[in-house]
Amino acid sequence: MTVAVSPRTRPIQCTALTTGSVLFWVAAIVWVFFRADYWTYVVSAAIPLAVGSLGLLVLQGWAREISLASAALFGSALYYYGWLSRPDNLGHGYPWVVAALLAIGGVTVLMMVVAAASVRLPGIYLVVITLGLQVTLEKSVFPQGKLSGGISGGTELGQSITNPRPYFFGLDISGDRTMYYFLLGWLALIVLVLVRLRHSPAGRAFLLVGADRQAAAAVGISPLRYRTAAFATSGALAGMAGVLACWLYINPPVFINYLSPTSLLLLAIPVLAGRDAIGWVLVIACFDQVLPMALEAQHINVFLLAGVGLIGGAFTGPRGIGGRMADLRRRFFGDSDRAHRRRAAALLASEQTDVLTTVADWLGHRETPAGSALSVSDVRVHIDGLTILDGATLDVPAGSFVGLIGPNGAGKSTLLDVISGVRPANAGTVALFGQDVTHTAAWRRPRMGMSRVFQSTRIIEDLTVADNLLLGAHHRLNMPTAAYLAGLRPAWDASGRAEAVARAVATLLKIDDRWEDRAGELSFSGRRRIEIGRALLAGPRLLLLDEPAAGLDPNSAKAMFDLLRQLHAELGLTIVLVEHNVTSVLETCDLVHVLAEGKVLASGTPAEITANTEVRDRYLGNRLRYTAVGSAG
Amino acid sequence: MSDVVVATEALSVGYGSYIVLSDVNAHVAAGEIVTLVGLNGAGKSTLLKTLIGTNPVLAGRIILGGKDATKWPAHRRVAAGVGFSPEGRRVFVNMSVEANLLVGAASLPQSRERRGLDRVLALFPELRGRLEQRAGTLSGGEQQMLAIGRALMPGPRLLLVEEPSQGLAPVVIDRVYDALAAIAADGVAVLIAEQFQQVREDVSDRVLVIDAGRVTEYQPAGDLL
Amino acid sequence: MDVHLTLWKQVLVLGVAEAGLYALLPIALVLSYRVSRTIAFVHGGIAASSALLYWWFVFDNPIVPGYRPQLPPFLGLCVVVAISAAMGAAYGIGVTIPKIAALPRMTLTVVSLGAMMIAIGIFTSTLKVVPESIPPSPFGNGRVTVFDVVLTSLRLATLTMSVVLVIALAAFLSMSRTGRHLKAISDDLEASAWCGVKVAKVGAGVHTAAGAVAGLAGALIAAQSGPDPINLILFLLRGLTIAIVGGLMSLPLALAASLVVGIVETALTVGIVGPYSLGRNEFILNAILLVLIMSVARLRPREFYLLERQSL
Repeated sequence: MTVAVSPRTRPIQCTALTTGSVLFWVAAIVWVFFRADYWTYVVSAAIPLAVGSLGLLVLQGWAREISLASAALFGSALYYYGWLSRPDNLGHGYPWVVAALLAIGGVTVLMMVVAAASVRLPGIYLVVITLGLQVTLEKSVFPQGKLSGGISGGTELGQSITNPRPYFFGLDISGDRTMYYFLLGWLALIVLVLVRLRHSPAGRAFLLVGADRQAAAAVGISPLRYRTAAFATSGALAGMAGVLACWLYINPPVFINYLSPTSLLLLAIPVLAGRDAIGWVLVIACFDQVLPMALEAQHINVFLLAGVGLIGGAFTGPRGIGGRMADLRRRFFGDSDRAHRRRAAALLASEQTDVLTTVADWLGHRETPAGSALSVSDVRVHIDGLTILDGATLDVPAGSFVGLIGPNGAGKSTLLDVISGVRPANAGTVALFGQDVTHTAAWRRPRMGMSRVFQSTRIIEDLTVADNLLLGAHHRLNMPTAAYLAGLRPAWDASGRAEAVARAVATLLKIDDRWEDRAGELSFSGRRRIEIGRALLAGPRLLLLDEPAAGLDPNSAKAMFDLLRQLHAELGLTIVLVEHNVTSVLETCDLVHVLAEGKVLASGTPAEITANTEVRDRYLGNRLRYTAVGSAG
Repeated sequence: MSDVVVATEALSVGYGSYIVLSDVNAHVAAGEIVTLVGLNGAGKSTLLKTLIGTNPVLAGRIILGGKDATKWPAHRRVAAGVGFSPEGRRVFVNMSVEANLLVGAASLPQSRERRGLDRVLALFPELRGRLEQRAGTLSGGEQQMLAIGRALMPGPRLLLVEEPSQGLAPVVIDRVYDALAAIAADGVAVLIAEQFQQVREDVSDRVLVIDAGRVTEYQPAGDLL
Repeated sequence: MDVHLTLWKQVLVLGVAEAGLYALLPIALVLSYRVSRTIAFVHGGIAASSALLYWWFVFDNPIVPGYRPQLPPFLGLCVVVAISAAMGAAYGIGVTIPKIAALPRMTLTVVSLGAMMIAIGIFTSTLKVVPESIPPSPFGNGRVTVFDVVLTSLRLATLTMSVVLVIALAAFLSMSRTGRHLKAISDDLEASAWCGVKVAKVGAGVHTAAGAVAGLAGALIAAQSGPDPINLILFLLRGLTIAIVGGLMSLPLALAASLVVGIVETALTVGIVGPYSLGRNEFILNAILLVLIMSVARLRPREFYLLERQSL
């Protein structure tokens, strides 16, 4: 089976070989021959800054976490690497590889500590913790003469500090131009790895964990693991930036450059460039270095320049310059883009076997379901002294189509939270296909066969439909991230096979014509279907849906219920849905549980439920009419 | 002949340059209950938010009590007698029920702030015993009553209600609609935006349907769905 | 034993006096957060500009060349506070324009950061200021003895103003009608507009007051340690952490946090915990603040309800 060429299978081919990209790199290589050496030095200085900014792109742009410590980490890595590698009695004289690994490692560990310290805390604590880290580093690392030269530019003993240029397999990199190409080479390597990271399962996981941790757990992604990884990546990049800078600067730069205002300004770079815009981060970093120099003759104040840049950039819109450029490109080249996409889609469609078979194969199970799919027993939940669930017990037989109804505040969403593992119960048990999962972490439950679709659509609006769907397959792709970063074919081909299944799911859900569109552009019901598709790609045997028809017009709602019945009948899925639309539930479900005041008030077929007087009095009222199930088939 | 409280003339509403509804000619008279039905995203919310003034008018006019209110900011329309109970209730969760109601009277001078309180509590006695309670701890139905009560505090002539049945049990929805009927009986013009499944034809005097960007009056002979 | 007690008394009194300076910027940040739910970095700019302006209006050493009005210090303080209020008003009117108010929160934070930079840029490029030199105090050079500890009149006046401001503003916010409307705006801005609250007017008014307080802070900091803009930004960031102790919503908690910071910092500087080490002192101070924040979040979750839902 041939693997389709897409950013998710051949990322370098698709993203790095675009016109814009090629022009950028050619220009970056060639321009040096047209300008004086002084500018070579200035642009070289932009490269470490760019690498540090890429670290912030990963942390803030992808994983949506804040760090106010980036400047201090950069500076600390710079100073420590210099000190570790300097020969004679100015430093330790380690070989550059060892010194680099130590410096980068140290900074990475610091970031992982920050990640661990802030994992269960709301976002604002990260502001406080990283700010504290920044000022602590400023006050403890920077003033040390042996590291940074202190205020006087020399060690405590009065010696001036010079950084050695590293020995690099005989290359003489002391000239400005050779240093520039040396750094540019490292930058290219880093960008290559980052592009691969972005399109690997790990990169997508960063994005989902950043957008919504619960949604990530619902498809089998460990929020803890990937959040920490994002912090570590960001730290490593800051460390690399420090090492690169140390190679560039003959004397370590004064630490005023790495104080908190710089951290604040660096914060703005991913916001200005746009979440997914590696290229624009590079451009902005370059502007950041070049513009003050270029305008120096005009004596334009640096603060003023920064302020105008920030405000101007902020007004390019919520998706930054990258987003705005993508919109413009869509407007001017939209038609040719769309035609290209349609051709690619047609190519892929011709290779599709029966869509349903593909999806069913992915889901794996074909045997008749037996036993209990889900068993909730005497679950109690107390929040802030209020009892939300007061001994809820229900059973979902495998292969059934079950509805859960009840008034607002009855605890339906809380019950789903307990079942999916998002919230621990104070008492009671939950069993999935016979296995006790009461204490299993939420992100492990998808591997055991359960998938959840949330009430509010928790997709990533900025990503394509394709990326969103493929997130569901995360726990089915078991190749290590290192394989993806190294560009190993087996890893990327595995992604390709998952993409083909995702394609089939999209066709099944009738969103395949929007495959490469931004998810945010789809209608409300389209977005709902993306979420269902993502849940399907996780390969569940049990599908939990929280108000799937909420907010849909009658036709779309009916289509939604028809779709669910189709999935139930043709793929053998057990389906549990929570719904407010009582009529629809009574018309389509085999089994209905009524939840009221934290307990299951009644369980039975729709006919039994409507006949139940207690349910009538407390919930249904007497005006409700419906047509019996069976006719809905 | 009943008093027309609000009328729109060739009104177009939307976001930026994206038009959601065009050429809307609707009106609500005093004491009338008019229900506006439409799909999600069809424009019910946009129309109501344009009437209350937080969405700019793209074309056409809004006439409020005989005056052209098209360019009036929200607080001026509230002062002119428009009340709004938004989708999702949007009560001030960290303030008490009483504080919520008092903020509702923001358009009145300070001396008259508490006047509407008795009227609202008479309409919603469920709130009477909960005046000191934090609004966030109320049940869905109580929050809906609070939202409507808050909108009624300055004694408006027009009440806009957005999806009052959202997330409520059928018995509670009945209670809310009883209250809305009583409000209309008092002479207030009431415009309710609802989902198709929740329309109460028994309570409404007229039903307006949004279809493909236009608003038309529903003729009982046709099928609502 | 006696020496120890004297030392502790000095630390306490000096620490409390120090806290007065730390309490001002948090007041500005809390006021702005209540109305806009964003961290108003612009106040760093207003404070820095005010510091530079105060220096320029009031510095009277003839050795430094260049024209300066050389106003009496107290008058200079009043002028600078008025200018800061105007800057706050300008910012407040700018961010309540519907188009701008509708921008996402992170973008507004970046805009606030940009406004801070522009303010600093304008005044560093137009005024010739020597950042290391300290302008005269607006409260004279007198000395007052409190509990056997000698304080400058500047320190005492700063402390008094901070405490009075916190008490007055807290009372106003909790008991007045505008305060109630402001609380509603913090809770749900759109819904307050639908209730008839004049959001733009309240917003502009609050930002004007916040700007004035930031300006006051800037001038007083300049009078104590010079008008260096970087120093002012550092004060803002310290003020941000202090304000976060109160969930960016509570003025009394911010004041309490400033007292803790003032006392702890003085104690560390004096060397109570051991020999002086900048880095370690900074670490201890930040750790204590973090613990404070977590305690308040646990004990008074009401103050944190907004912050916990979104940070920047």
